[in-house]
Amino acid sequence: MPTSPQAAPGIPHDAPGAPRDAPGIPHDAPGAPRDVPGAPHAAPGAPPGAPPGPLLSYEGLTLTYPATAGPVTALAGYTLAVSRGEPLALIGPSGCGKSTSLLLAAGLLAPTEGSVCVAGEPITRPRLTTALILQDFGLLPWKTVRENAALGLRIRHFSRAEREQRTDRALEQVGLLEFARAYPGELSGGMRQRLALARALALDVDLMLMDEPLSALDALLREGLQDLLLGLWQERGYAQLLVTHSIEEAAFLGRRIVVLTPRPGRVAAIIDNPGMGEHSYRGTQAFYLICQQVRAALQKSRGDTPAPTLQKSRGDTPAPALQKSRGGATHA
Amino acid sequence: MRRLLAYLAALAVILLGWHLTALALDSPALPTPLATLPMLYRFAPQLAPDFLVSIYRVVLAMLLGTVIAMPLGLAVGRSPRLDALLAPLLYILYPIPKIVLLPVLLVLLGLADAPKIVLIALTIFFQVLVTVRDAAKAVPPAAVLSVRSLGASRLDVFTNVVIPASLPELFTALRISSGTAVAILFFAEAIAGNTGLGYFIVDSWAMINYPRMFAGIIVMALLGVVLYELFDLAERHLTRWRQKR
Ligand SMILES: Nc1ncnc2c1ncn2[C@@H]1O[C@H](COP(=O)(O)OP(=O)(O)O)[C@@H](O)[C@H]1O
Ligand SMILES: [Mg+2]
Repeated sequence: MPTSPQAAPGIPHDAPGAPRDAPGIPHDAPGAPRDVPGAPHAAPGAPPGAPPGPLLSYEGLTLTYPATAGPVTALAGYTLAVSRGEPLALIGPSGCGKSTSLLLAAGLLAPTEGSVCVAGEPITRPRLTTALILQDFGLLPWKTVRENAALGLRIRHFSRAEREQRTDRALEQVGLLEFARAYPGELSGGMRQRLALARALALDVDLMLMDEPLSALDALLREGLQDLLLGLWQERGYAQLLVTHSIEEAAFLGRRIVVLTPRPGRVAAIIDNPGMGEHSYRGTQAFYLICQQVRAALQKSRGDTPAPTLQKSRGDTPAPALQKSRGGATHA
Repeated sequence: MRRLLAYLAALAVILLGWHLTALALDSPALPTPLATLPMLYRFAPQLAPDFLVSIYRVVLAMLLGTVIAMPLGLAVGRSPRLDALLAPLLYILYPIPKIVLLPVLLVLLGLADAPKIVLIALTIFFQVLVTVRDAAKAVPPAAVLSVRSLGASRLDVFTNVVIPASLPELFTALRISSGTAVAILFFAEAIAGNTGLGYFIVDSWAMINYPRMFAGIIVMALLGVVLYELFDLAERHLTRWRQKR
């Protein structure tokens, strides 16, 4: 039976009508050193010849969805930079624009105002070495595990030999090689998650975007997969932008933890988490303190959204310090 | 194997029911299953040409309707603008039983193959259009976004996501409409022209040749069953991933 004509935009087939030429905040000239000298861009995976500057940067970004019931502004004044090889966790109230910010970074949405740059270039379309893993993994049930893992390579017309070699390596790395001929429907939730990871790994990504990748899994599985995510990041050294609603997950997987305001989202606070990177980090005192800080920052961002007051830092609080991000100033 | 056994058991039940009904009615219009076998054998040479004509009409018509409706359904399902344009049209046209157009088609296209094929194709067209459109619409946005994030073009999205996602729905629609298609075929052949199983059955009825009539009925019923099973087979073959759950 025909259903009612659906005019609601939903997730658009094409980028929504946001003009790409909107004059945003001007980017730095290519090559201009915008990093504070000596700033800790401790990027384990930064290739030697890589251009300076962040791998991913949002500058004064606004994104408005043209919804039928009136436009919805998901992000406003959103400024954030992610260095090469940096693992970053993004946390914030639901509906604050976390998923939207990933779609922007993946080149699937165009900003209404401001800009998103990847590797110094404004991003206008999906990029070969950026991976996006959505909440329900986006696997294709009619393709086998191997076909799903090879999908990105096939769409990019890689040779058959290269495809097989890379896919097998990726499947091996997530422990799914022996299930290569199964269909996703035959896999458990955790295995599907690992398959989505394999699809990204096969592309040799340098930017991994993940939208609440573990939220569909039960608690027992989740820790194991967090360990896998940490191990893969350590081995492959990509920059990672992980959206999560779990404070513990953010503290375990984010070297910096970005807390967003309610909608329209912008950065409310950035919490440094230098102790992250060890599997044994969970359960340490430092980990516990970070979790507390994130919790406090979330509560604060929820409470006094518009107030731009700076958090008074107490002299007796030891580092790691809680910072208010202002206009995208790089953290020191 | 289990499936086959269940199938055979069902067949046995049907034959038994038929046998008992035939015995109870004791009418030349409904012979017992055993009595039909010699009839089928006797009328096979006469039936064969009409059988072939009927198969040709129904298969070609279903193919035509599908081939035209499938791309249109995919396009409408994935384009909100096209959908907004065509949805009101579909609303009105879909529920119209296309068979009422038969006299019009007979006047326009004559009494031979064309009106029958067009009538069945029209019915299948709307069925497939509506089904495929809804299936294409229901494709999870996350699957499309994921594939697009891998650099997929619009065409890649159709071949990798939208079409495979719509195939089960398409085959279900074809399987279910195959009965309707044979019914329309029977009606159209009975009313106009002098070829096809529908004509054969009505002609025998007019001649009060009940064994001949019944042989025609059996063959037409078989045509429906075989079509249904063929679509079922194709559906199961093309959507093997669905069984493995
Ligand atoms: N395609 C869309 N059309 C209209 N509004 C949308 C669309 N996608 C998201 N939104 C709205 O934008 C806001 C941010 O969405 P999202 O980025 O998904 O938030 P989060 O991931 O933080 O929960 C929400 O209020 C949501 O309702
Ligand atoms: Mg979200």
